Amino acid sequence: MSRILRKGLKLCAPVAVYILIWQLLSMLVGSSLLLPSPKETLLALGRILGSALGWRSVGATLLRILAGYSIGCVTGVLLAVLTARFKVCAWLLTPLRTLIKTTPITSFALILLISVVSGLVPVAVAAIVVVPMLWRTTEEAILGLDETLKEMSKIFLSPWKQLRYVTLPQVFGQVFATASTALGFAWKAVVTAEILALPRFGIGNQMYLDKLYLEYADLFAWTLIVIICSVVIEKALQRAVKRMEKAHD
Amino acid sequence: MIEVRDLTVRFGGKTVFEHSAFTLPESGIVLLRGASGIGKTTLLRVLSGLLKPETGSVTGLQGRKVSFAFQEPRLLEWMSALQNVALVSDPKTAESLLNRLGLEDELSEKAGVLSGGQKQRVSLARAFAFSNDVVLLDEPFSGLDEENKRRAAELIRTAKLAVVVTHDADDAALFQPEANIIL
Repeated sequence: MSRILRKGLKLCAPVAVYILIWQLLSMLVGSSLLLPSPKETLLALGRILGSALGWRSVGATLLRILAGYSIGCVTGVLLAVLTARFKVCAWLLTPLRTLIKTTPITSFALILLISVVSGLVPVAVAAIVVVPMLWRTTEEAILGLDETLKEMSKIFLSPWKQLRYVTLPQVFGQVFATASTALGFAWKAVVTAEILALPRFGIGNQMYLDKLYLEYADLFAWTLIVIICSVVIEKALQRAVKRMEKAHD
Repeated sequence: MIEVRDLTVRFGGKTVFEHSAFTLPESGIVLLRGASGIGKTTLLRVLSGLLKPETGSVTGLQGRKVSFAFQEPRLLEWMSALQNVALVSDPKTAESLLNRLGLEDELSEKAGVLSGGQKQRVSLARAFAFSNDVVLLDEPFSGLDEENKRRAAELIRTAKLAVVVTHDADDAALFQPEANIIL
C-alpha cells in the first residue's frame, strides 16, 4: 500500500466511524428536526456553498477572525514585553489580564454592543480572548530567557542581532504553540459574538437564524463549515511557521 | 596601562573585592590565578563591563574592543558552529579560525550536538573572531586534550592583550606571561 494511501486511510477512518455513529443516531432519533442525518447536512452544505449569502457570511466571519486574532496577538505580545521588562507595568497591568481572562465572552459582547458597531463586536471579542493567552505565554518565555546567553550577546551582538538570533528563537516555539491554540478560541469567540451581535453577514448570524427557523440541517452544515475552516487555517498557520523555521535554519 | 582602582564587589553578604586595585599591561598575556571562588571570573566580568562594581573604576580600556570567552561556551545551540562564529564576524574569518582550532569537520554541525571540548573551541574562535584587541578568557583550556590546548594557546598568543584565567599550573606553563596576577 502506498504511503499516501496509508496516510489518507489513517486520517479518514476515524472520521468515517464518527459519520457512521452520527447516521445510526439520526436513524434512531428518526426526526431531522432534532438530529439531521449526514446526508441532509451535506445537502444543506451544498445549498449554502452554492449561494452568494453563504460565501459572504463565511468571508465576513473569516475577516473578523483575521482582524481580531491579529490585533489580539500583537497586543498580547506588546503587553508581555512591557510587563516582562518593566516592574511598574507588571504591577499595573497584571490585574487587568486576570480581569480579561476571567470575564465571560458574552459579558464583553453585550457590553460592547452598547457602544460598538455590531460587525466590530466579534472582532473586539476575538482580540479580548487572544490577548491574555499570548500575553501570559510571551511574558513567561521572556522571563525564562537564558541569562548566560543574554550576557554573552551583550558582549558580541548589536541589540537587533540579540533580538533576531538569541531572543526570538528562544521564545518562538512557546509563543507559536499558544498562538495556534488561540486561533481555535478566536473562532469560537467570533461565532459566539456574531450570534449575540447579529451583524448583517456572518456565520454566527446564519446559525442564529437557522436555529430560529428550526433549520437544523443548515445549522449542522454551518457548524461543519466552522470546523473545516478552523482546521484548514490552523494547518496553514502551522505550515507557514514550519517554512519560516526551515528558512531560518 | 590598564588600571582597576578601588574595586568593591559584593554578592549578597559575601565580599569578593573590597577597595582592591590591579594593574594590567597594555599588551601581552596576563595570567590570572588563584583558588576557586576567589574572584577571578568576577574580575573578568568587571573588565568586560558586564558587572558594575559597588565602587571602583577601570581605566585604559576606553576605545578598545573587548572580547570574552566564557567558562561555559554559551553557544546558540540551534545554530551551526560556523554560524555561531560568523554571527560576530565575516564568514571567512569565522571559517579560518574554526579550521585553525581543528574544527574543519564540524563547521556545519549544530552546536548542540558538539562535545564539550568542541564547544569550548567554537567559543574561543568566536571570541577571536569578534576581536583580538583585548580578549578575556575564563578557563579556556577546560575540556581540551593536549593537541587542542596547544592549538588554543597558539591562537591566544595572537591577541594584543589576553587575560587568561586558569587554575592549572600546566596550562599556565603554556605561556610566557607579561604579568601574573595571583588573587
